[in-house]
Amino acid sequence: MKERFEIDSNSNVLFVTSQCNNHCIMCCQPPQKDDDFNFCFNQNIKLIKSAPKETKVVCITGGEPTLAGDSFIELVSLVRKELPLTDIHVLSNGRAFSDNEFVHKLKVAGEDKVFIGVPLHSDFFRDHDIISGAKGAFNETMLGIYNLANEGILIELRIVINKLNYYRLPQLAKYIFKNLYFVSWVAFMGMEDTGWASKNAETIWVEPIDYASQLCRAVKELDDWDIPVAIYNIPLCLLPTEYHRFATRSISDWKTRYLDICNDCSVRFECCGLFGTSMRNYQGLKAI
Amino acid sequence: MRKYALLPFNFITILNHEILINELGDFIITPIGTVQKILSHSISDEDLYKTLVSNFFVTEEILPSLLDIYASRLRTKKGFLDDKTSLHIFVLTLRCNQNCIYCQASSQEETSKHCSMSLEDMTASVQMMFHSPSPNLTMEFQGGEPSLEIDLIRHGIETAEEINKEKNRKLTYVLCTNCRKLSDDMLELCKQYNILISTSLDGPSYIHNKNRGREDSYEKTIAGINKARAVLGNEFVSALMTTSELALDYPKEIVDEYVSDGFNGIFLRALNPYGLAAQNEDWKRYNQRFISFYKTAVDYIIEINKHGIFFREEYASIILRKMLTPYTTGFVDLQSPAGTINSVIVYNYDGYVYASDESRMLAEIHDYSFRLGKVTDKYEDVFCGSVAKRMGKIWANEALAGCSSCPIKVYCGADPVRHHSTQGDMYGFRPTSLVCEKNKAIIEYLFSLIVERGDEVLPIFRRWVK
Amino acid sequence: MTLKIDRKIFSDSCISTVVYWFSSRYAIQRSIQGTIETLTIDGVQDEKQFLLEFYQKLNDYKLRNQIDEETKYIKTILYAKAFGEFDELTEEEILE
Repeated sequence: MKERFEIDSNSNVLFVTSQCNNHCIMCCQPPQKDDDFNFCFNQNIKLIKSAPKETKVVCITGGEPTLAGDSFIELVSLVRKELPLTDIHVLSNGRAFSDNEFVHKLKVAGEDKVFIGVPLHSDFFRDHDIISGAKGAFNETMLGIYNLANEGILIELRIVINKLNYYRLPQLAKYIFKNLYFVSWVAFMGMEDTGWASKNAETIWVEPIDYASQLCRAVKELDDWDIPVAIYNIPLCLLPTEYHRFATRSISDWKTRYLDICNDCSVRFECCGLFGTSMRNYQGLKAI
Repeated sequence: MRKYALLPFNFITILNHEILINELGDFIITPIGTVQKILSHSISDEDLYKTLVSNFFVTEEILPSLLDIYASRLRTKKGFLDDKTSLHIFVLTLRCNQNCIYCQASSQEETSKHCSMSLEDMTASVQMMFHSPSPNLTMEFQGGEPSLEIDLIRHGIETAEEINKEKNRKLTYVLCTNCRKLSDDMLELCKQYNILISTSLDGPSYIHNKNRGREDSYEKTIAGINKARAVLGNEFVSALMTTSELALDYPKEIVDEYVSDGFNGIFLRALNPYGLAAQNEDWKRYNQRFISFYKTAVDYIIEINKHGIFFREEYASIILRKMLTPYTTGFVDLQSPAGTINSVIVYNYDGYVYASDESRMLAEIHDYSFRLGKVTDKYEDVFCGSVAKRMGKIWANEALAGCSSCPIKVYCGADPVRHHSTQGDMYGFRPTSLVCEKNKAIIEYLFSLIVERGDEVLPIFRRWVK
Repeated sequence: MTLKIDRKIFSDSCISTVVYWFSSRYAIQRSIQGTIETLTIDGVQDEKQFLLEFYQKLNDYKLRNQIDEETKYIKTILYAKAFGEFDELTEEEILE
């Protein structure tokens, strides 16, 4: 977390709360129960007011930022007013957007430069619910995505790959094309081995080399249909060469880490590297 | 498995697989016996179960929470209805400068009189077109040979442009010409208004010239295509083929001709059976031969694509779009409710409005069943008049005997005019319907390709339908 | 040839649909006694093949009918949601 925003940084964060109504089994920042809304809100106001006007993007996150309800809308509104040129990237589980009035308020507050990153863990509701740790989460998230689309708000789908969902990634890709073809892009994300992901490693950890084939089939299907697709957090050496073009340097600059073997790698500077916060390294890392 | 309830779906057996198809046309390929297992609640394959739930085949809820999403997708699939009539065909004349052996438009000599549209009727037709609520209006000029009536085309376009200053529709112009006599004036007009040229090319010269009844037809058509391309650009010139009996023996040669002429697709069109009941047996044989011709050609086209050349078969692409994508498909021959009147309308040279291209051809053999009114009549009386009302009762295949329980109706359409012309009854009798036989065979063939060679053909099909 | 079908197993709608599809090739006469329907079919050359095809279709349509029966209400709701213009109705119009 930064004290002040930087124009080009991809980690200008407004942290709304550490509470969450999902309990994702691979959560890297497990939610807390403290009532921190007011404290965070005041911090965020200071950050926004002191931010350079040229700031490219701010990320509103948590916990689940929409739990703040109207003060979440207020925050978006304030960013829009103080930083009219800045993109607002909200990371949310999307459930609160199943209320279309709330979505409409967000649209009014954020105007045209809001995009929402929503996690979708599976095409099968129960798998999504189990991974999110909340019954009914899938349906609310899906209805939320539809409401967002109806208001013309841009949507990024985020799929954190784990042992419970990797084998249905191709089916999930097909589901996205059939039901959510209007999303702006889809990101498949490698897991960070920290927080609950470490605690639940036995149940959920899976190595990229074990899911690469399902991942690539899913990426190919979406790409065939011209839905922009990206792979986050998976080092290039673990992906087939023809899929390198989908991988991005996705890890926040302050978290990125490289190994000694990476020094000899020809694509080190295009590679996302590893999470500095991860407890373990992926299997099969090598210089290429 | 949990307790679940069924959602509406149907199934078809292809190559020892059961293909389950829902109301949207989304499908799942399953082992034989799956439907029985679903109905008796004895599915043991957990992965299949998840697929059934996520694709709206079964649900664990009494009223599915995501039913609104299903409904929204269904509405999207029928989106072609939202805009109402967008394709407006103007039959300018019956005069023609060719003698095609299968001409269904009863074309007349180039010098004939009294078979061209009057300027007044053109004006009235264009005015009527603007009563259609569609934001996209396509004016398609047909004949005979419409390029023989350049003044009429100019008058039509100028009238439309004038009215459009107020109406603000997106106008598209198409000229259906044999390219035999594309004058510089004509091409200049095309350039000025971005008119798309749609020409007829039946294949290599030995097929094209025989079909078209002139020895120099192929040469002239190719020259016309090149001339039009040079003036307008390649993307403004497309070609259509009609499969004559002679053509049935040359599927690959015809495809090769299109590839070498620089087209990136071909529409393999069957002859329109106008011979009526008298020659029924001949048409039955033709239909079956066409189906095998079609399969051979599509197989060959897939091979071409595997060599890295983008080339698609248009009819298959339309059906595949319905099978593989969530989008709507506006193709008048495969719509339910039917494309006639809803999507296409014809203003004929005789000053009357007809329900479709086929309807005005019937009028040439004195069958005026689908004449909707005069171009000077009121829009409502024509588009919602007695003929339209009668057709409206039988133009949805969801409500037709033989269609309503058909598993692949979602990819097909209703065609009252065709059934009237071939069976004498616009309701139609599916067991002997040639259009039913043909569409079924083609749709089942595409499924069989997906079942048997999915990994190989699907990436190609996805490129075709984009 | 004649064929006896128990209507407790195959419903009228199921038999009718199959008869419809065969009626382009054969003249089929139907008569019913109790729950047994007797079909008299003219012009069958290969009885074995005919029976195979006939029962295949009967079974398929039985499954289709069962699906239709179980889903008719949800289908109505689905189509009403998709195409009903409820938003445009005023309260008075709904009450009428």
